[in-house]
Amino acid sequence: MQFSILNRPFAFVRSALQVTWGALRVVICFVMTIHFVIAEDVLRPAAEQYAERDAPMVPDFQRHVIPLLGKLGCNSAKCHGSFQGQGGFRLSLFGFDFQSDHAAMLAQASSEDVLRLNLKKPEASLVLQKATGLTDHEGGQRFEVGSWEHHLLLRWIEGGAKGLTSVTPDPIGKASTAVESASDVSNPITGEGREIGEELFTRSIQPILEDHCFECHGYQAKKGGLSLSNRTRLLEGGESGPSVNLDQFEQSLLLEAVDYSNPSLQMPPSGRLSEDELQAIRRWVELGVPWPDAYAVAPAEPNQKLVELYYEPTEVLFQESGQTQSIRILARWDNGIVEDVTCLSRYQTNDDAIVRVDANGVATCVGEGDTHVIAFYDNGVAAIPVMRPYQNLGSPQLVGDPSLDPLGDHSHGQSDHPIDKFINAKLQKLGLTPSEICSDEEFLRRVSIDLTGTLPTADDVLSFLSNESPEKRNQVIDQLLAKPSYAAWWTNKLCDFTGCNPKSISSLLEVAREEGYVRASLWYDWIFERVQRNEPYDRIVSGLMLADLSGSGDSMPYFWQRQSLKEAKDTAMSVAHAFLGIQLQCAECHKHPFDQWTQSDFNQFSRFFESVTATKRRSLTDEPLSLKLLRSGTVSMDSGIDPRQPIMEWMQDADNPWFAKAFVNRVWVGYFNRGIVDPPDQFTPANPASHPELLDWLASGFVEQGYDMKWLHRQIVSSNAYQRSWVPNETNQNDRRNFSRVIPRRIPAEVVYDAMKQVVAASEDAESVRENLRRRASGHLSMRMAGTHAMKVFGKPDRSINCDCERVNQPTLLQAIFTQNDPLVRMRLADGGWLIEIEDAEEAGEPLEIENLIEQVWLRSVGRLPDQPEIDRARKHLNDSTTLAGGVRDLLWAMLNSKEFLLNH
Amino acid sequence: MHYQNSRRQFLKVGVLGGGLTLSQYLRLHASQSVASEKRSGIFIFMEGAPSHQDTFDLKPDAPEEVRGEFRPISTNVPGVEICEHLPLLAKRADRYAVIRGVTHNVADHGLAKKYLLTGNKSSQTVSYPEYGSVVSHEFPSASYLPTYVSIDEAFVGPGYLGSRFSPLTAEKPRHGFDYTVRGVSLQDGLQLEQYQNQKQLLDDLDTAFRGYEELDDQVRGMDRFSKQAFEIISSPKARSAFDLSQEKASESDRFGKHEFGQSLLLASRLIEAGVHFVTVRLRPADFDFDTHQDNFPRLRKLLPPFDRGLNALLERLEERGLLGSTSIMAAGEFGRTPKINSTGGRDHWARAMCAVMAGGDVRGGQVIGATDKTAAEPSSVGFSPDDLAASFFANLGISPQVEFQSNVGRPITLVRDGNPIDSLF
Repeated sequence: MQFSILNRPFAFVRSALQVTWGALRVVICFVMTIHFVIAEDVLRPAAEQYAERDAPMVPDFQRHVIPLLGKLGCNSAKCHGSFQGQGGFRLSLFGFDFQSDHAAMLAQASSEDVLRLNLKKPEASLVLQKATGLTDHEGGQRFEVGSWEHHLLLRWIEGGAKGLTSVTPDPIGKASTAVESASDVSNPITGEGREIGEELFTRSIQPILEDHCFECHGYQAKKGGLSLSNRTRLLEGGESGPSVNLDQFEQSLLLEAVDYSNPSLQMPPSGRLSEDELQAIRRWVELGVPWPDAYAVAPAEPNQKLVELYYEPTEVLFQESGQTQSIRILARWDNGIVEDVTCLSRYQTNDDAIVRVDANGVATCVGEGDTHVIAFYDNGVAAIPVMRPYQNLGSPQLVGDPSLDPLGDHSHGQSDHPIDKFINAKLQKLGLTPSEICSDEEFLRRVSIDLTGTLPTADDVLSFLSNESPEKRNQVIDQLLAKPSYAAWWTNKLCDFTGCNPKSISSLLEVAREEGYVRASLWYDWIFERVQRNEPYDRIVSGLMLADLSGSGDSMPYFWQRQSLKEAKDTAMSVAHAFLGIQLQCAECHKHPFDQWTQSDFNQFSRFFESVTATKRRSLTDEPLSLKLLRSGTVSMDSGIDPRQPIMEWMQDADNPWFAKAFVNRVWVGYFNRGIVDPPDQFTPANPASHPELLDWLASGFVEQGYDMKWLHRQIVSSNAYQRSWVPNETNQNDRRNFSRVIPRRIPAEVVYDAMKQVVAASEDAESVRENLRRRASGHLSMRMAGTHAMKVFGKPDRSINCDCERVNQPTLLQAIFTQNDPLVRMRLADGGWLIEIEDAEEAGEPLEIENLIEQVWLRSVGRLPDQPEIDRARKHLNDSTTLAGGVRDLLWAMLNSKEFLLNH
Repeated sequence: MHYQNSRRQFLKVGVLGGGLTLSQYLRLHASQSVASEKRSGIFIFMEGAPSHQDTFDLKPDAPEEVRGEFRPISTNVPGVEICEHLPLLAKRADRYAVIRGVTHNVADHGLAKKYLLTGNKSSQTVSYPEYGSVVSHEFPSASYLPTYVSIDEAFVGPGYLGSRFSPLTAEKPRHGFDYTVRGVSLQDGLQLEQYQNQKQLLDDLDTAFRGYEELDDQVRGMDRFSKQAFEIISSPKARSAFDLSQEKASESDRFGKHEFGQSLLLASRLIEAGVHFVTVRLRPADFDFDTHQDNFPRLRKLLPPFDRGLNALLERLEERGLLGSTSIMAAGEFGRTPKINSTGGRDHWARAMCAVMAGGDVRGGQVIGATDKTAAEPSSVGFSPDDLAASFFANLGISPQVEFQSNVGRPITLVRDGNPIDSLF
């Protein structure tokens, strides 16, 4: 087995990642250097080159034609990119299936009797007629006659409308030896019979091939080893031998097959062709199967590769609304070509409240904040940072006040914490003043929920408030990290990330449900033990990834035995999502519209998992394989190797672009409810990090610390960024991306359930109700609770699809109905141990101090002491109530329904 | 040059008249068949999958091992025959359309239920929403009412639309028992006045975020939903909609004492009150339509209450002038095997099934589509569950082609592969 992370051929990915996550300055230098070297050789933009009718250069299918079609929207889902096509013309969605796109353009238009590409009379080509609106086009006019777009396509057709022309390996591993038909001298299309051959082929043969043959003997499909994608392949034939005998054409296998004379070889199987069609084929074979070059179906893989997509300027800094900036996009190819592709790129803004961008790459400032403009070209993605500092609205008298310096003499700005340095540097750049540090009460409640999924007890709160040590926050962090409830809460999260779903690991029968719970609980317990002893994250993943599928050994096989992983591609998507934070699903069927992934990337990655299925219970390759790992490395394997091994090694490699970052970022989401990359499972160049250096620092620190999860948690929650108040100041109320304040978020489903129990618990049960993990929704009960009414209402994920979006913390109507009147809540309030205590005391005539009861209500539910108006209101209610227990019950009901209880803030 | 290819000829047909291409023609047609107003809807889900050939698609001329024990009876529409155990519906056949020859290839209960409840084949990467969740998104009810009620807990839920569009679950009502709705009914002697007092206390004490309500969606949303929940729980209208005890005994009897009838009666009350969508899951605890054994004895027990309940529902909605504004569909998740097995049952069979539609623009009194001699396959092209969903949505006034921004980062077409069945309307 050989494992290597290749640098050169994948430099594009590398540099794209640097742009996204790395230090920006390094990339700027890199880009500048290239500019010096190649500045003179940059090809002019197509819009200039093809401004005139007779441009000397013939456009290239991959570099010009397909990007232009993409830019014009031809291959979008609403138009010809739809899986049903449009008007009988189908292009691959968002491009990159060059073969079928080329074939589709060459095919005779079925709705009208006109050639899409008319090589003899290029201007009459239907694609031009339609796109210029000369012929009725449902998609409307896409460009004008005489425009550069028109000239570009025209010149391409005049140049023979060629697709991809070179020889490259098949998309799947094994090398093939396709021959280029252009070099084929025996093709009578080059000789005297040119006219006749071309006419016959385009009018008669091509339609037959398309309608009756290509489905089985096409570009990818090669039934019986036969492909009819070009003349060479036809002559080569398949398993039964050459299809055409050029010397004795009557004896050609092709004629025998279509003639239906041999009962064991009848093509097409759906029925004998018409006499007209048969005659055309006979005539064609007789002529020596002339095959015009343009109609040779091109190889699958491009012969040139985009190395890098880069841009000028390297950063856009706006000062006011309405300002504009043109962005220039340049593409560097592996064959040395560098071209200005601004006019051929597609653009999108990641936040249209900050910047808008038009089709020409001109960005216009709309509002304050920071985001990116994304450019797409070929399979490259460029993310151009855009920023406009906040203007400290409405307080001109403060301008120039030294105290306004975000990093100046402010208790909330000063911090030596590495996380704060990264975050404050950007806040300063944006002109944002962070919110104050939160109160001790808020901190304790927040960190207890986030670290352990548990509310602090009344005693916890009081003792924390009376602790005068300046180190008390760090002390409490260490105490919480040592609790079993920490392990329980983060095990619950790891079960989310890895898709531990009871339904998926039992058979579909109702009776097997129990088996699913048992297995899911084993999965939970297996992770729990490891989190509790702080086993390194990579080792936990390795125990899942390399699990012994027979079920023996110290590993957890159920990850692989889920019903949902029916095929290798399902497993590939699940692994990419769980451990790399990557969504591959779009690339299953078409080029990913907003990402770099193509179907070929997806297929190669899927190959790793072909030998791993639940039913096989083994994982060994049958043949030597050389496979690419999402364009960031290649693995060669001998037969008999467990293909999961090299994947795991690749993930553990310190240079892996995603493995550590994806996890670090997901943990970050647990504390801020927003990722540094957000959504956290969309690590793509089009979705850049808000703080790339911070993410780099956290991820590399995590790896250096041996994937120590407690180190990671401690780093994050000890920062000022985490300990800020939710109360905004004048500058940062609109900031949701830079961690200048805490954004209140609803407590997760499991926490709602457990917290309600805790709030009403008898005084003596305060500790056991928290620490008995067998009874906790975030503890071992997690699996049994999945799918129950309360968990569904509050958005506990089913873990049935590959999406972090499955866990929902939006408020809903049903949640409000639940907290106000669900029998479960009413039952908690009726039977709560503490309320029974009060009832008993009341009945026994024992004295109860009202003030103390009121304090307890607040401490138990929202982790703080009530203020005077609250005490007064509560006292009034208790005085009006028939019984004290009843009055306290109402108070608790109100607090359980308060935003202060339901939100973590 | 003449092409023999049928696809080409077919496509050329569309070019006739007005120079429309086929796709333009289809689109034009599709847009016309979407109802111009938004309507309420009821999906009656016959879970377990009833055999099509023993309900609405009988084959009296088939061999005995196929045709089974039931005989067809004529209906009030000449030429239309249905099962003898659906006598009430037979007298009302002019009010609904039977769709035969519905076909798919998912013969697993779980996956096929998801398919029929959403109109999209279930996927690894996207979870699709139920009809009612789509209605919740497109056509919310008044704030004192839930938009979507699922009688018996929803099987799929709101999918990519997000949990805001979840149904309120109402348990199956049982005749002769007090009926309560989880979360909505005030139980255990809790008086409305006490609840109102509690809410007042909440409003007085819930002040931590006062003044910052507009800052964050979470805070704003919680206030809004808290208010709406209070309205639903305390409003006489919502409470009365669920209160089956307000029905006269004779009316309750018209629907039948069986849980089917009582569920459909509740569905009707909810629609009358202004709830916009109700899913009724017909799945009795003892046995459902999944008749692997004793197909005929079981159907003899299940069909009469179904007949009675659906008949009463159609009749009542019509009496109250609501049939025209309510889109109704009844279907299972697939059909059952043509041949009766050794235990007198029929097994899973997805290649043929049937559905019933009524209300809204549906032209009643017709049978659309057909199956072959043994009810094994559609006799011609057939319809897919996607087509059923597209038709149902169109009849609800929601275009099946509408695109939603999903939570998985890309737009998703409501019904990707289906088209409304034109002849229904």
